[in-house]
Amino acid sequence: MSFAQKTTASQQPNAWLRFKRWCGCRFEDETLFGYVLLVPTILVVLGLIGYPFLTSVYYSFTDKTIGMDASQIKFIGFDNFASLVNDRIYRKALVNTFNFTVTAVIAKILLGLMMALTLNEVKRFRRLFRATFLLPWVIPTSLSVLGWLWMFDPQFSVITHLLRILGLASETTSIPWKADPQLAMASVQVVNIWRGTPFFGMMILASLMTVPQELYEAATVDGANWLQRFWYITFPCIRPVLIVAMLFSFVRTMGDFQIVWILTNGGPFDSTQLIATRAYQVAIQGAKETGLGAAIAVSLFPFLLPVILLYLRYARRED
Amino acid sequence: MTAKGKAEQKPRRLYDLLRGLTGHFTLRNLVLSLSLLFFLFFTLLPVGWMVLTSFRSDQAIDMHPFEIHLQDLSLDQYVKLLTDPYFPFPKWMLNSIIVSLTSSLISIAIGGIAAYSLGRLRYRGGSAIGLSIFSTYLLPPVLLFIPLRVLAARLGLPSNSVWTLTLTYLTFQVPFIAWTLSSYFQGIPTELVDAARIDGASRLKAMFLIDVPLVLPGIISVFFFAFTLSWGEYMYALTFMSQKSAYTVPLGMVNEAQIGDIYFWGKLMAGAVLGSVPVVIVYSFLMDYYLAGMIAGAVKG
Amino acid sequence: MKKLSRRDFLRWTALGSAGLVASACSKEIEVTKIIKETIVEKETEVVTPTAMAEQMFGGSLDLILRHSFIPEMNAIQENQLAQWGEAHGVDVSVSSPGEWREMIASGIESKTGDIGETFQEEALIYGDALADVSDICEELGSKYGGWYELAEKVGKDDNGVWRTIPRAFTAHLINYRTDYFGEVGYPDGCKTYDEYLDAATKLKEAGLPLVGNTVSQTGPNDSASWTYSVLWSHGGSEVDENGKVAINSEGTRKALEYIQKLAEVSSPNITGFDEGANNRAFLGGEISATQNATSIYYNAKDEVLENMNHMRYPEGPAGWVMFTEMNTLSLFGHSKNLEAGKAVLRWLMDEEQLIPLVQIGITFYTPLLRGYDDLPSMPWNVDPKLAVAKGLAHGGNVTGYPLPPSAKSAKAYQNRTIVNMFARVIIGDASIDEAMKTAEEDLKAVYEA
Repeated sequence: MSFAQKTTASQQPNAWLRFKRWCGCRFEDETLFGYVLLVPTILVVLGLIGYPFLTSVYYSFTDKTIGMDASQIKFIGFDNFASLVNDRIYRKALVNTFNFTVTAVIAKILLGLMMALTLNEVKRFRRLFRATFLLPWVIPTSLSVLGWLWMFDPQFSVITHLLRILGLASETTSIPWKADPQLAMASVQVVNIWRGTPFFGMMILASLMTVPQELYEAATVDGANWLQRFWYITFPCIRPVLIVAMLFSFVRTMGDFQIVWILTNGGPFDSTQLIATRAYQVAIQGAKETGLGAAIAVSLFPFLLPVILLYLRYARRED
Repeated sequence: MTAKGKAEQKPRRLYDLLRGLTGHFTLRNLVLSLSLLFFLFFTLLPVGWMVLTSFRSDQAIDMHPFEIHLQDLSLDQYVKLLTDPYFPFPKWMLNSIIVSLTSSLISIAIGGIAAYSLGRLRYRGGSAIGLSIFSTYLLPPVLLFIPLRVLAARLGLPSNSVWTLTLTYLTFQVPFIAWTLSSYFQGIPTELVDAARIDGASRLKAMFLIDVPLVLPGIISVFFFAFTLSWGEYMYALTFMSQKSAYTVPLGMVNEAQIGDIYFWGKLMAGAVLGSVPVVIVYSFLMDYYLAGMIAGAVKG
Repeated sequence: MKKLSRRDFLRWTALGSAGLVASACSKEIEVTKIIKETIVEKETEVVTPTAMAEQMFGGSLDLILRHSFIPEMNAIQENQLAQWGEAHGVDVSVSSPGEWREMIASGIESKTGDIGETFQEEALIYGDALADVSDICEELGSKYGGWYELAEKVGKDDNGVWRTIPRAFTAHLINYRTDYFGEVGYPDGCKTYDEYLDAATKLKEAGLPLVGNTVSQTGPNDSASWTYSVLWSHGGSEVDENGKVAINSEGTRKALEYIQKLAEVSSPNITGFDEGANNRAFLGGEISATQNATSIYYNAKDEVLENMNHMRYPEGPAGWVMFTEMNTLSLFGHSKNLEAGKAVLRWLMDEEQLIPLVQIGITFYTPLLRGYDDLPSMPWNVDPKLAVAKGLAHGGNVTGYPLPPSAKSAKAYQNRTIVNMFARVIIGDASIDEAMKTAEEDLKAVYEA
């Protein structure tokens, strides 16, 4: 109705208005509209990232090394993957990656939830608290990790120093943050959790804020206690965002590189070696085997299948 | 006031009474305070140490790291950082701002409409496309930087250009935005749009005038995250920027303050602090809109 | 005027002869404040660069060079290249990021860039992606007294073609405190590994700062330099002359036993040191010796500077074999300006250009041409604390010893197999036999795949 009014008012059918009307009519079709909206994304994503992604996957089936001419590349099928099975360091990296990812993501979810709930309740100095808690995420990783490198220094660690002041650590021996296999893994996990918690915190907080207050009030009137309110109101409302954040974090944590690379370089004796760092070592350092390195990264795909399935199940439209 | 209204008023007063009286209230406060303290410690211990270091001289840091004399604190590291003729830190800030801001805005535009499509509209193949967008994250950037460089060379994209870098940043921002915002879009009620459509509004109108404002907090959060992700990005910046004047902040700082096996902690931390300031500013700026969006939302609710 | 140390004397001489004062005839270059200050402090003669060949090449050249812990080194090179570029009509640009090797790899893959400073045996792995530079290398060899064997091993590929110009290697020496070592009877350092162990033991007994030789995957380069040298000097090696894995041997056992004994009297932190931690520990007076390039010496001040000196890695039962860290200049085969590239490489390797770099590099760059050994302006002939670096390349080897370096030896090095073998024994994570077995398994996967 509004369209009809507009056109009669301006006498001459404006080309722009006609285009708009045409769009309006065309876009009534849900499918077409849906696809059109996706076009820029597909262009950017599949165009820019598709080539690197697909070539890397392709290389994982070849014997390519850096500098090898295209004509010299040989297709070797699953040979790379087969050799990985016998690679002791790869197997260790795989186990470490799962250990690292699962632990870190669970910790981040729990802490992030706690952070969001806490921030939601805070009434005074809201902005200050939120800005402060955000800092670990905000400081560029390449710089904050260097800060942690120093904080885990065998001699000059401020953490050891504080523990000594509190009487929890001996004065003479230094804590081997990077030299002990378990401690080293814990150290890199702590840095990852420290950096990643604000992400969950803020995402969940954003979602928490969209939960209508009346629901809470009604529930309290009905006699629900804090836990029940959380479980039946809060949780279902934030669940979509929680799942998205979890999937995103899971995939990113699995590919995490910088923390381990700078802090421990995979050590001590590969106790913190991850798939991403191993792939880098093989593909870009060492013998510069692009194919083998790509295979290492691609080998994670089957293990990410549950994550993909979860995404698919969740992405199906539910009303 | 109607009879219904009166009935609604009574439970509210009762609720307030309950809140004021029960011990439940104080316990909640205690837990809240503990939690706040924990997070303050969790955040501020490392950050505080880093910030403190940025105010100390190189000698103090190396010679007696744990003896801190208040009178020795100074802004020297910051001055050195900002006035170094060989390393243009202000230029790096400018580069970072341009790249992060531009890429985030473009990504929101592109990814936002894709998110709408994935989250609100029904059509065949939606899951498949969503999945392929998601799967671009499965390979870590540490491996992708070389093929991306090859692609850029083939496309003739110039190195040392903030626009080339902006383009590459889209590759990890757009999927994230499309993906995250789609869940926000999924979560909003459909009644308003249905009502509007019955009134004759086109899909485009409905999208921009109704649904988008409803997820504004989500858009703001996601914009912020995209901005932060690109602000701290290192690998692609390293790959495409070889001239010092083209560096972004993380790239420049690491190369200036870490030379071989020598680390200049004071400078590094000063760079970390200064490098975080723009992001915090953006965040505070957005918070205003955020809260405004919340209030508007509450009224609408 | 403050007392000049030999180290600083070298620096100023170098800056003068690099023509950094003579900026009038060259493009405006930003130089660090440090250089400006040091030039102002001491009067240096203006030395104009030698007349260069007049040929104009046009086009552009992009170079990726190694990032040195001595900022002046990068400044000098950039200045030299700018002058050369202007004289030959070439648009030269230089970058020296911390990850210079990764940038070379990406340059080679994307066929961008012209010249890169490759590391260790990388040039051999890139193979024919790099241009043939035999003419330049033969010329340099004959002009400057011949290459060290090490240079030929690293520079020539299987067909005897020079794929890269071995520019210089980074001297790794044991930095030690003369005062503490003097107290236990070794003021001039130790000649053999047994003497070193003796000194370390006595230091511990006397309650003096312990030795701290890094053996850690977290500090891979320093550790590799030490562990490979210990291994080879005791008769062990990854492979034998026929290419078969031979790590499980008497020589390796001796090396591991030695390291075990040394670790008992060393600082407990050696398995956790990252690349910079041993610097910090030494400069802070926490340890009395560690293996390192001269980055410690460069940063030392006052008490530490006065009381420190360098010694070569000790001799072992199987002689003196040392791990060397090579920097080689490579011309990319895909470069669009090959002629200019060759010309600039030839020019860079000329003594006029190389000498200031070596002087200021205080053995961070040690040429592999014999002619430089006796040159009076060289750091080892000027500064007595660096005297041991003379002729250091003679007993040097890159990975793969006793075979020439290859992609396989590079891979074994990257896997940190040797470093971890030693580290596990030190920490007690594995017995000597177990550690050797694991190393054998890993090496077999690489060499006999």
